[in-house]
This record gives sequence, structure tokens and C-alpha cells, in this order.
Amino acid sequence: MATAISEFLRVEHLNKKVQSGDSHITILQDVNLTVKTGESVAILGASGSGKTTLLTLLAGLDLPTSGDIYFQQQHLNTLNEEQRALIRGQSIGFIFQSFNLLSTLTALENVMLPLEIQYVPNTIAKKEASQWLNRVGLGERLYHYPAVLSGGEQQRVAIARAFVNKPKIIFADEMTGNLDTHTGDRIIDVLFSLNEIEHTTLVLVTHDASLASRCTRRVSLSEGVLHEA
Amino acid sequence: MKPKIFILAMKLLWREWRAAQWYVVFFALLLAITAVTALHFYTDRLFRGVTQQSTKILGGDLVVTSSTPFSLAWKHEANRLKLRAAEVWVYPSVVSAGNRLQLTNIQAVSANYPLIGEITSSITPHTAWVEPRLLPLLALNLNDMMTIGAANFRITNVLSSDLEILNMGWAIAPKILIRLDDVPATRTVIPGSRIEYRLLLVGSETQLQQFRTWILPQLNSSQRLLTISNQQTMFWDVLQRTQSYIQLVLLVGLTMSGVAIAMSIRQYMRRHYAHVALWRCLGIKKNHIIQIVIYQLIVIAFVTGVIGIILGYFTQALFVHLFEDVFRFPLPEADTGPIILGFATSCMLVFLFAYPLISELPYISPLYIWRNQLAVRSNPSRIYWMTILIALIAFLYWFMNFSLLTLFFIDVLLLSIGFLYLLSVLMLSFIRLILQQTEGTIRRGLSQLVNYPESVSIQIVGFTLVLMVIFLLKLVRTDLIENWQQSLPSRTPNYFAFNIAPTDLPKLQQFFHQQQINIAGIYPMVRGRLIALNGKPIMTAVPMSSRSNNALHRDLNLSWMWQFPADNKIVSGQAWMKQDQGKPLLSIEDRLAQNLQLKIGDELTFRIGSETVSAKIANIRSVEWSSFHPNFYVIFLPGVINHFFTTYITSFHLQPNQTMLLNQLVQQFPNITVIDLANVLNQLLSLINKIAQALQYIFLFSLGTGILIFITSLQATMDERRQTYHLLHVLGASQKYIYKSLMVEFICFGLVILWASLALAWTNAWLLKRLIFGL
Repeated sequence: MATAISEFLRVEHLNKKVQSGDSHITILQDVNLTVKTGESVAILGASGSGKTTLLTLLAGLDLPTSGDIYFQQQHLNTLNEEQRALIRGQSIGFIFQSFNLLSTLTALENVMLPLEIQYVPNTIAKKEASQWLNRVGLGERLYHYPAVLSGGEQQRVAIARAFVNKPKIIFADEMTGNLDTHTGDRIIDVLFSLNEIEHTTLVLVTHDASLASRCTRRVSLSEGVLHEA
Repeated sequence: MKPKIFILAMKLLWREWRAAQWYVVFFALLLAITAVTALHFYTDRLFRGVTQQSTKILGGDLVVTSSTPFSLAWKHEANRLKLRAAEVWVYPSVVSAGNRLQLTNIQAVSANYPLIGEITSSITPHTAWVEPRLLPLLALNLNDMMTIGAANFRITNVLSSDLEILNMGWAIAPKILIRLDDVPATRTVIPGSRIEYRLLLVGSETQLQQFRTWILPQLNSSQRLLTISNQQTMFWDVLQRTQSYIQLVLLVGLTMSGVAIAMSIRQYMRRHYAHVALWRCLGIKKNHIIQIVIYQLIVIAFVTGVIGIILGYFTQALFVHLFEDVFRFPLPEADTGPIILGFATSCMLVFLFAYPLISELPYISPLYIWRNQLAVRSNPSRIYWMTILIALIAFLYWFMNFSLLTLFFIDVLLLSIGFLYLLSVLMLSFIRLILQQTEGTIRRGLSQLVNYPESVSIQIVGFTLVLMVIFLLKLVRTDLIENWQQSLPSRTPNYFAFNIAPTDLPKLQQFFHQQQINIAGIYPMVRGRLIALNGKPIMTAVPMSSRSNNALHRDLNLSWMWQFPADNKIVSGQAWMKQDQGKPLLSIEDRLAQNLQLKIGDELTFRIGSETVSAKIANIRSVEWSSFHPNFYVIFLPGVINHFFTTYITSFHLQPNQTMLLNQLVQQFPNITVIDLANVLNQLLSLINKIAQALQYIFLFSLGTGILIFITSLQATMDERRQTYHLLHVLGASQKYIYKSLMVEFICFGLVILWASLALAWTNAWLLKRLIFGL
């Protein structure tokens, strides 16, 4: 089935509730979504609308209260944490709002990390990471620590880190949220130009309209309910 | 071990090290291991040195005595075990010089005697070394000749106090040292002669233990094993207490280190959560995280162990060098024990305190990145904690040679932790209660405490424990030294007078009175041998283990009196009263009673001369054998043994400038034998002073370490404070505001810690002194 092959992610009747004291709060309500291979999807929504929760569920970082998530035809709900971790390590790249670079590691080492924890030999990891840092324009900053890099530079390191293990999908959570508009635009350029070359599927969580406009598809979340934008 | 995980672990460790992430943990651990190994190296050498000094009292690490010549097999076994051995025969003999005769105590020694001590030269054939008091008795000088039996000897040396001084010093007759191979020429030894044969042995503890195990089953009732521990000397008490104090210091060191590591590793691990959450996002497996952290901790424990042990070794070497002049006796070479302790401490501290945190790591959800809180908190089971606790107690108990002190200390520590935790909870509740009524910097400082209740509780427990153990050491040390000084006051008797005839008694008392010499008391003395218990021969009536007790193999000094000497205390039974007069009652020393398993009402029979006397035990007394006053195993109610031939005994103190009075005493009362114990006493005092000094330095060393550990631990807990105050500063708080808030926080915190540590230290020191140190 041609449609099944091009389908990368499928979410059916997804619900997520969390307990707060004695009551339950519904964060996501009957969410249905399909993301096709190579597609770039922006999930828009106000703060607290459940965007990040949806992203963490799609990436297999958390489990839904009910509903199903299929990641490349694999039913994520039925996989245990270790199996989901394996998928993350091999197929997923992450870009976070607050970059989440390890302050004790240089830019190069931060980018090497996803390869290292997959036990890729050091020389290969180093070569790959250097190449990716060059591609994001930080070839001169390989041995700099995050503390001496600007916000934009840190996010470029994070982009290099997200791409370095050749993921099939990248999840980006408010990746320009901590950057000024100009820097944010440049970062978006970097991400999309790399994505074009690598043919990676992109799922972005954002409330930045200019970022969302670059995506092939936009959906919005409002009070836990997903709508096509 | 999977090499790829290990390599990754090392790579990550190196990066964290490079970024100074491990410095606090590493420094705290290094300090702990350095302190513990230095202390152990030093105290172990010092204690073995002091023990070696004290073995001079015996003449060997182990001495076997026998009233019959011992078999050659003993010497062969000693040779086989590579023990150094010397043989000594002790027997009484009359010596002459000119027309003077004197009963002496001959010590015939083998060529390699002495085995211990600074005297390196051995006695040469046909020469004699004599006790100084023999020279005036025989009107001789050094290098004069004297005759022992059929052989002539040149007096080439005067016996110093170094040679078996306590053991030999008590003999009434003056001592003469000659070569064993000169004995046949003297013809003083014939079959049936009353000789005490001694085999002196020196060697390692293992070799000695092997020898002990080998020889024990072969000993008959007239043969005994002597070690410094089974001699009732004051010095042994001192040694035991010193050892207990040293153990206490080590336990304190371990506690302080534990606190430092617990506090710093906790901070480190918390900082680590974000890293682990990211790793999880990037797809690392749970068990790989555990393996990575465990490999890192093993390497940290090992590297810190090696460096700490090396530093510990050099620190103790520096100590030894600094206090060389103080001790004036050579310390034995360092042993390997502290190396094992160093590694054990390192691994134990790292894993014990890091484990609960390590066990949390796999449960750190990748969502920590977004939520900055732990999604799942692992809760190590009670079984885990119980196992850890039991393992820790067992390790300490084993390491400290199964000492009661260790068990006591662990109890104290656990109770203290419980108490302090409760105290911190109460303090925080109280602060919460009053917080609404406070303003400004006071409110800010107090909120800082209640905002981090878990941290504050841990800090209160940790810091109080460190301070408490330091105070504890100080209190115990002070009392210990005071006790020693009090037990040997400046006017401790340094002379004993024996063989005082009842007819000389009034004149002698008058002599002491005229010369203003204080005497503790003059006691009647009869010599008799214990032969039966409740009508049964003593050797069959007492337990097998007690049959080698020396008191059963020799005549005991028996006395009688209404009022016991001041340092004797009745521990069971009743003191006798006037209405008991005429009843056959006696009082017995408690250790002897314990050893022979005697109880109140038991009837003991003694042979005195050709008669036998029986009496029932009316009470059991504790005796201060170290008081240098005349003391007796057995004291009768007056009227039971008065009719036997009696001499009197007393002890007195002479100042160095009063020794001329001795000549007068000897001239006026030629029958009396006076024994000079001044040397013994001086040697004892000097050793005790040296040990007291050693304890002082050990205490100072622990104090220094404690302060460093305290500062390190404080540094490790500053993260949360720094974060909050930095934020306040950003929000516009002045330096003064921050400083004042910090002061409020620290004063409040400090007062609780100070009060709690003083109260706990005082209580625990009181218990420790009574239950363990017997003060």
C-alpha cells in the first residue's frame, strides 16, 4: 500500500491526562494526526495548549493515557522503554527550546554525543560531528564550550547534534523561542536547508508563525484538541 | 565488562573532570582517604612501636615459662616459624665477694639476649651485669670480681631499666645477669634445682599466633604463656585505652569522610540528572547508564584510593619526622593494613553513598529536560538499606578487630542521625510557624531554610555529626590523659620495703614519721598456696581454662586487715564487721575470682607452711594493681591467719634528694629489703607522657581534617544557595541584603548545629568513657 509506505507517524484517538492532587487534568483530547515521510509539520498553539506533551508522545518519550501511536508502522504503546530508546537513538533527532547542550562538553563533543552513545568509533564520530558543525557554519568553533557561544550558535550546535546520527525524523520544540527574530530566521534557514538535503521528516512545535509558514503542513492545538490549520 | 561502555564511561568522565565537575567529590574523597590512611598508618606504627616498647617489660613478644626444662621441640618449632628466640633461666643463688654473701636472683641468658631494646651488645662470657643495689651490698665497684658458686665473674655492667624491668623488678633479691653457657662452671644448677625456664620469642603476629596455637595443647600446669596483655600492669591498661582511642579516631575519620562524600556526591549526582535525561532522549539504554556511572565511580574510587594512600603514607612519614624527638623510640615500618583500609574506604564511601542516587538514574525520565523534576523517584527497599547497614557494620566490626567500641560507635551514630533528623524537622516546623511574623532579610534567610527542607535536614545531620565527633574526640582525650595523670600522681610510691619483722614495726613507723615520709600503710603478709576449693583439690575444682593461672602455681601473699586499702573496692558481697570476728572469712580480688569462677560463700583452702587454713569468701574486691601500693589477691578477716610467721610490707615515696635516707633505713633495719621502683615508675611515666602527647597530635590532626572536610562539605551544599542569591541579586537585591539574609540563615543553622553537636558529644562522651574506656 503506497499510502502506508509514505506514512511516517500516525496518531489515533490520543488522550493524555495527568493527575494533579486529587483531580485529573486533560492535556490532550482525542488527537488524530498522520505525518508523512519527508513532510514538515508545524504544531501551533498557545502556551499550555499541550504542544510539547504531544511532541514527547510522538517521540516515544512518554506514553499516552489512551489512544495509539504508530511510528513507522510500529505501535509505540506496545514497546517498552528500552525498545523506544532504541528507536530514538537510531531514528530521531531532537532540537530543544533551551538548546540543552551539556556545558561540560565542547561544541564538537556535544555533537559527537548521539554517536558516542551508539558506540560509533571515536574517529568516525569526530569526523561526522566536525562535518555537521561545518555545515551549520561553526567549523571554527569546534572546541568552544556552550558558555562562550551565542544563543544562535548554541542552537546551530543543537541542530548539528540532531542531524548527526542521520535521523529519519526530527522533533523540534520551540527551537526559536529563546532567540531573537533575526537569529531565529537564520536558524530556521539552516534547519530547512539541511532538511531539504537530508529528506528528513520534521515535526516542529512552535508558536512562531514565520517558522510554521516554512512547513508543508500546519496543525494547531487548542485546549488539547488538534485542528488542521 | 563491555569495553565499549567502559571507553564511553571514561570519555565522559574525562570531559566532566576537565570541566571541574568532579573536583569537590574528588577532593572530599581524597581528603577522607588521605586522612584515614595517614591516621591508620601513623597510629598503627605508633601503637606497634609502643607495644614493642612495652614488650621490653616482658623481654619478648611472647614468653613461655616453665618450672621444668622445656623440650627442644619448642625451640625447633620457633626456628621453623622463623621466630627469634632467647632462653633465660631464673633461679636464686648466693654470691660472694670477699667475706660478704648475698642472696641474688640469677638470670642466665643465651648469647642472643636481649631480643628487644636499645641495648645491642650481648653479655660476654665470664662477666656479670648486676642491679645497682647489689654493689653496695657486696661493697663492690664496676670491674670488680665476685663469685657465683664455683666460678668467678667480672662485673662489667650495671643493669639499666631497659631490660625486662617490670617483670624482673619485683624480685626481692637483687638481679644478676650472666651467660647461660657459664652456668655449668658455677655448679649452681643441679638436678632438682628450683629454676624458672623462660623462652623469649619475637616475631610477626602471624608467626606468634602459629606458635601459640602449636604450643598451647602441650603446656602442663606449671607452664605458662605470657604476653603483655595478660600481665596486670598499668601499662597494659594504658595501651588498651590508647588502642581504643585510636580506633575511635579512625571511626571518627570514617564518619567525617562519609559525611563529606555523602554531601558532595549528592550534589554531583543531582547536577547529573540533566545529562542523563539528555542521554535518555538520545536513546541510551537504562542499564548502560548504570554501567557508565558505576565504571566512573570505580575509576574515581581507585584513582582517589591510590593517590590518597600515597598522600596518607607521606603525611604520616611527615608526622613521624616532626615528632621524632617527642617519642624517642624507633617506630616499626608501615604495614599493609592501611592500604587495604584506603581502598576499602574509598570504594565503600563512593558506592554506599552514591548507590541510592545511582539507582535513581535509570528512572530519570527524558521529560526531566522539560519539567526539571524527577518523574519517577526510585525508592530503594528497606531490605537494601538493611543489607547496606549490616554490611557496613560488619565491615567496620571486622576491620576494628571486633571491638565493642565499634558497635557502640555505630549505635551512637545511628541514634544521633535519628535524633538530628527529628531535630531538623522540628526546627523547620518551628520556622514555618514563625515565618509569617518575620520581615525583610530575616524572612528571606529563614525562607531559604524552609524552601529546601531535604537539603537542610541533610546538612544539619551531616555538619552536626562532623562537629560532634570532633568534640567527642576532644572530651575523651582530655579525660583519658587526666585519668592517667591522676592514677600516677607525683607522690606515687617509688620504693617497696619487704621482710619487715613485727618487732621492727614500731621503730620503722617512728623512722618514717621522723623523716616525714608518708606511707600508704604497713600490711602484714603471710605466704601461702591455694590448694583446694570447697574441699576439692584446686586443679580439679577450677575450670580447665583457669588451670594455667599463675596464682595456682605459686605462693600468694596473704594478708589480713579490718579496713581494706583505699584503692580496693568491694564489688560483691559485704564488708566484714566486728560481729564477724572469729569467723573464717576472706576477701578475694575480682579478676582472680572471675578467672577461677569463684563466688561468695565458696570455701578456699591454703597451705601455709605445713598447716592448712580454710575460709569462706565473704566479698570480692577490685584492686588497682597499677597504684604502686602493696596489694593482695587474698585478704583474711583478722584472727584467721595471724598466728603464722608474719612479715610486713609497705611502699613509700622518696624525692630524688631523699635517697640518702635509704642508707639510714638499711643500716637501722638490716633485715628489711628495699626495692627501688623509681626506674620502673619513671619509665612508665615517660611512656604514658609520650602516648598522651601522641594522642594530642592525633587529635590535632583529626581536628584539622575535620575542619577541611567541613569546609568541603559546605562548598558542596552551596549550589542551591548560590542559585537563589544570584537570582535575588539579578532582581536588584543589594549585596548587604544578600549578606544579611545569608547571615540569618547561617546563624540559625549554626546555632542548631553547635548546640546539637555539643549536647550529643557530651552525652556520647559520657557513655563512651564509662562503657568503653572505663573512666
